[in-house]
Amino acid sequence: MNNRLPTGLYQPGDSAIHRLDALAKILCLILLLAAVVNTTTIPGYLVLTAFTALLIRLSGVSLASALGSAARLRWFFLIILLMNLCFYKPEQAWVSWWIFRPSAEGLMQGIHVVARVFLLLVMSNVLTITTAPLAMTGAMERMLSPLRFVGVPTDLVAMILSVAIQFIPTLLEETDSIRKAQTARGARFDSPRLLEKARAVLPLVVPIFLAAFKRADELSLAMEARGYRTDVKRARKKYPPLRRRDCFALLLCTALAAAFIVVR
Amino acid sequence: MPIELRGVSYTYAPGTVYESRALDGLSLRVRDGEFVGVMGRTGCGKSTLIQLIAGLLKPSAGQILLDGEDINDKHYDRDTLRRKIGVVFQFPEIQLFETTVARDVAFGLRHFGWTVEEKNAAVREALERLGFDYEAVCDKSPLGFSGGEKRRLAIAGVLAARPEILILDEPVAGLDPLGRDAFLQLLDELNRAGTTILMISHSADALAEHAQRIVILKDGQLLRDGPTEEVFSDHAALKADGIGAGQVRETVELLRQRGVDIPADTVRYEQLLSAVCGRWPR
Amino acid sequence: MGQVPGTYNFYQKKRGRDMAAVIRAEKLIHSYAFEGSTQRSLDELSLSVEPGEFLAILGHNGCGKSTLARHINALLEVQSGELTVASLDARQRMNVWKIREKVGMVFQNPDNQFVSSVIEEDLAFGPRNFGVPENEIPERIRAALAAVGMGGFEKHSPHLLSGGQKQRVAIAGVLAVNPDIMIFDEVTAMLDPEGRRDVLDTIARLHGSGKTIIMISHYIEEAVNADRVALIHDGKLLAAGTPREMLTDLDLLRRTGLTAPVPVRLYHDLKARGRELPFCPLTERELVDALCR
Repeated sequence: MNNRLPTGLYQPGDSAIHRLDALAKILCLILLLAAVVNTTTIPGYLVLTAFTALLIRLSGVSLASALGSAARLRWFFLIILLMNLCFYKPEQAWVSWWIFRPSAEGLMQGIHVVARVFLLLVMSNVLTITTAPLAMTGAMERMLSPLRFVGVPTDLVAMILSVAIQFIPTLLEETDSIRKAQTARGARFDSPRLLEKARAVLPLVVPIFLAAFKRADELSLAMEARGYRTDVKRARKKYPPLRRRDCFALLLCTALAAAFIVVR
Repeated sequence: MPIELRGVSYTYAPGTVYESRALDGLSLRVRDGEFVGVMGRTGCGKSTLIQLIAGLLKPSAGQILLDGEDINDKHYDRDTLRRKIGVVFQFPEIQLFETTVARDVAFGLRHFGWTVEEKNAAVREALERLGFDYEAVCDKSPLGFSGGEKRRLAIAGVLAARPEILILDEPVAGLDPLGRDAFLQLLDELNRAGTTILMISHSADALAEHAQRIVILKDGQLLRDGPTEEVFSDHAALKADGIGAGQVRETVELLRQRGVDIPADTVRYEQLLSAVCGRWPR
Repeated sequence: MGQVPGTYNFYQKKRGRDMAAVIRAEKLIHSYAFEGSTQRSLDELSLSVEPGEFLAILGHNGCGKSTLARHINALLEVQSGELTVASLDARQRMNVWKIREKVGMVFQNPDNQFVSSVIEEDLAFGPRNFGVPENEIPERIRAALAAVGMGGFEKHSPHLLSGGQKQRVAIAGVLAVNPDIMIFDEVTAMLDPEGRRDVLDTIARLHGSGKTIIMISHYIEEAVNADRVALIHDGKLLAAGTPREMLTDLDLLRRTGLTAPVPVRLYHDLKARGRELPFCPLTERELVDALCR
């Protein structure tokens, strides 16, 4: 089966957001998260929601994809909202019925929690959807690289991340093959009985671990044959410098973060 | 009629951007004791076909019947399916996981309700069939064996259940010539003893020697279905469909092109030898 | 009756030209411990390879052919014996990286050779490891992909390709380092017939461009077009010679654990029935030529 398996959430595209540098995007996300965490008023949330909607629009991604995990959590959000509403500040309740004491503070607290988590999730989704996994690992490598001055082997970490990510589709396919082979031998993965389900884990997990180790073994041999060595410094990868649009995005997000921190 | 497919279709990932039709209205009947070779280019649907027959996938349309019963009916007993059909996937050695060979080979027997003695006997029989000395290997870890040995252990694990029907997906891929020959001989023995065999293979020579019937798939549909000699006799069709005809049939074709009067349904080595001896006297 | 096609006196060449051999192995021994005893995967094996030659190494699984290959590109240390690769002594550990730059190796499983999910990143891996300047790398990538017939696939992900395409990309990854010698360790074992054909064609083209090729296999059909064939059994070199010398000898094939291809079997079976062909054919076409003379 050669036509399957997308590489995670990433959807290739050519929007303004797609074309931003990955590191700039990660830094922007951090700044925007700072803004989100420092919002305390409803208008504040509305501004950020509008901004997020603008980002989604600019990225050319469907609303459903952008909401993604956040949409799946909607019932959870509702429960959190209701629980905060009813139990947060029982002393200042409007009404009182059994154990439920809804209050204005409770409502506000609920909104804080839900809105913040929601915005965080959606903004992160926009990042992962518009950034190729390879660009992400490159950006992470750049972020970590100052750590090399304190002895952290950032080159190795970056290599490990990059290799691990590219193995994901292969290992997923292998998991599927193993599951089918064991099912054909009578393993019961879909059994409703908990004990059987637990026992079914071993015939799946042991072969996958073995397969993963075997692949790692073979790959490290191939890497060595291609000259990979950890004892000598490799040429540091040169990344293209940040462009105007990246600087603009960073400035914008810094301004937003500053505004929200100051205004509070 | 052990296996019957009626108008079976299968679509991968329906409704997504990756949707693809792997099988399209395929109907097939496999009779008791047949040895059927399944051929076709990569992507023709062969793997999907065997997964459907083994009950590992549910058809998008059509029915799959085993001894007259629909295997996807919600009242069908899946254990019967597991007992009657044994599947050897490509590179089956990945399924080994138990602490000892005996336990791994016995893995498929847990839900049959057999006694301990029956299970041990079946494990011993299967291992010996695959050329192992039971006493020497039963308590060893299956993971310490060589690649070829691991494959034989995995196959023993499938044979231990004494399946009536054996389905194999390129079982000799990656084996060296001696390993290949030994395994194909074993399949012959099993077939003579009554096991129905369905084998996917790219090797026309191997199938010519062992299979009585050939089924060729293309783009999810049945392209050709008939006795081995008949299917392999049409060399032009095989070539057009991208199927390798094998060394014996290629030789026969080249001889025919040179005007040598040798029948097109000469597909096995012994047939070729006799034909050549007949045309070229001492 | 006519000349046996493609005869070549191996011994004559050996005496005169041994000095020019690009690889020379002398009595290599490789031992390992197994269940309490010591086993030898290489048992005083000696072999030499000429520059630009296409050598096929055949043997059954476990005979030591892969172990030999891994000595040639210094993946395994020489335990005993001598080994010179491209004028470098493989016993000196300091030569390891220079040897690996000259000897590229492609393995059996295409999936386990990629380091990145983007082909051009993967192809840059080798050259970067050997200090090739960044600005030369894109051209190397382009040339390597073109040489294997995968031009234009720079931005693709290797995992979405067919087996034959993946293997060709793996070959390109090794080619990008510009090695003089390329070793192919059972590279077609996991491929379908189409993929196998594409990969074998690629290897033939690389040989045509001047590379020394060592192809390890247990498929006799793949060795038919080699310049020379070496048969390995139990860690020893059984025999080496032209494909015609090696692959038409039923006894040698049997001792190596290989099965003779149909043309060779037919030649010998016909001979046993009193019909002698002028020469022992290696391919179907040669068989038909021999019959129709």
